[in-house]
Amino acid sequence: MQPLNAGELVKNAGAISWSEVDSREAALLERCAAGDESACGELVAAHQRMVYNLALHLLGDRDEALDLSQEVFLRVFRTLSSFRGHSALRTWIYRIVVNQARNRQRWWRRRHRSDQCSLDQHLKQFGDFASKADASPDRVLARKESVERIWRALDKLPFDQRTAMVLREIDGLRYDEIAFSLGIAVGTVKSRLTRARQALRAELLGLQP
Amino acid sequence: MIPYLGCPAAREMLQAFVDDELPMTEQVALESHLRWCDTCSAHVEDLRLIGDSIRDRSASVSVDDARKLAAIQAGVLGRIRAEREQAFPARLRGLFEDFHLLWAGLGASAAFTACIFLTVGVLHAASSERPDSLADVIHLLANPGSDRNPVRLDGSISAPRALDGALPLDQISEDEAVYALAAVVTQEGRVANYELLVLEHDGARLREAAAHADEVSAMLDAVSQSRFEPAQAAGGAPVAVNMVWLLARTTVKGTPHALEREMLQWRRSRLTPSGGGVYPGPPGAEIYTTPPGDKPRTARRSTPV
Repeated sequence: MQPLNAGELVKNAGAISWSEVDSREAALLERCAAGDESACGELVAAHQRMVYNLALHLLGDRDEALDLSQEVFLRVFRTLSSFRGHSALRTWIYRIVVNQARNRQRWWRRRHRSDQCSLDQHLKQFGDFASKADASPDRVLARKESVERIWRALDKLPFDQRTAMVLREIDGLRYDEIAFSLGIAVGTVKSRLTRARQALRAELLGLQP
Repeated sequence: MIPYLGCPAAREMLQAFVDDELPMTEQVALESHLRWCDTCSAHVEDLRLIGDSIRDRSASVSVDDARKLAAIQAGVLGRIRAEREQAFPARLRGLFEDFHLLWAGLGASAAFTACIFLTVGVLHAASSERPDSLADVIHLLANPGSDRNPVRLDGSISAPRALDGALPLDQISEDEAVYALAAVVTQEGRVANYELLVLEHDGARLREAAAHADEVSAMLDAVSQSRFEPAQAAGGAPVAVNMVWLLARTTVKGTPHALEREMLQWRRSRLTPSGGGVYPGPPGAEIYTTPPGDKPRTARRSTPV
């Protein structure tokens, strides 16, 4: 396949605005849309860790997260022609992950499996949290307990609030990026984060003496 | 100058402050507030602790397992490849890559087309009705009164009437002749399928017919050229009918005694004699007579049976 420069991409894209996509990413997307398998491999390799982690935090199950990650990338390649570059590719993929995870959660809820993501199971699967080397044993213990409380409370949050918290705290997305990923307004993002933090803080304060 | 910020307004900004989403001026004002407000500072610490706790756990559960990530990539690429192979254009392209399949396909298409033409030809040939086919027989039975399926003459059907007089018997030289003739009067009024009826055990008739073969043949030709007003069914539609005619030529010769006796009776009754020539018969007489010495006159009668 012939290499394309950014100018050619903009010209070939026609009405497509690539304002949020840099030239290297745009070239990669063009190759993927043209059926270049190596380009597809590059795109998967660049985003698979991010997709898998987000799926894992939203679903809490490693196998489900692995399966969901594959579904997400297949969805990405199938709908690549509809990507208009109005957002960063990463944010667009986040949106797909959240939608797929929400659909899977609904399927679980219908199958009465919504409670399978318990903290004990989570700890058994993923091990203990990282401790800071310079902390004292008491502080480490207190922090461990607070983290357990917060994650337990996080698991109990509604899916939308938990998703907003994960995108904000773990993936570091801005409010507008979260809004695009969830398909909601920025004000709704703020309110969801506020309610989620109130719940988590209440859990945290209940733990502290 | 840094604007003053009270606790209620500051609490509204704490979350955005922790998330670095505050504009610069509001951020400076909130930082100034946090320097002296322990309550809001503690709230900010709590929010940061929550975020740190979530990120700590996230760091501990992040997947560094290269095998798992490779499984994602391999799985996705494998499914993409499979979908492309199953796509119709790809399958079509594969057909044309191997040309023996192309020729086989063309041969099959040609054979299929030939079979279609053959089937259509057979159906077309079978659809035309032959006279000896069952379809034709069924068609005839379903349409009584046609030329090929004439009906019997009964009370509901008016008998056909000859347009050019009675059937001819002039070709017969014999004074006395009686023939039975069977024929079909078609819907157009023509005579078809005519034949002379002679009993096989009536040797005299057979010999007579053989002796006058030419005359009989001429009579039959005359019969075949006769025209009729066709028989009509109850609805007025012309129908073909089976007819049997009894053709009889009778010659009646008068005797002198009988004639004198008849004339005497007539004179007595009318008291005035009439002139010579042809004597009119009594009213209602159907047999014409001639005076003695004249050539016998012939009565021709055809009676449908």
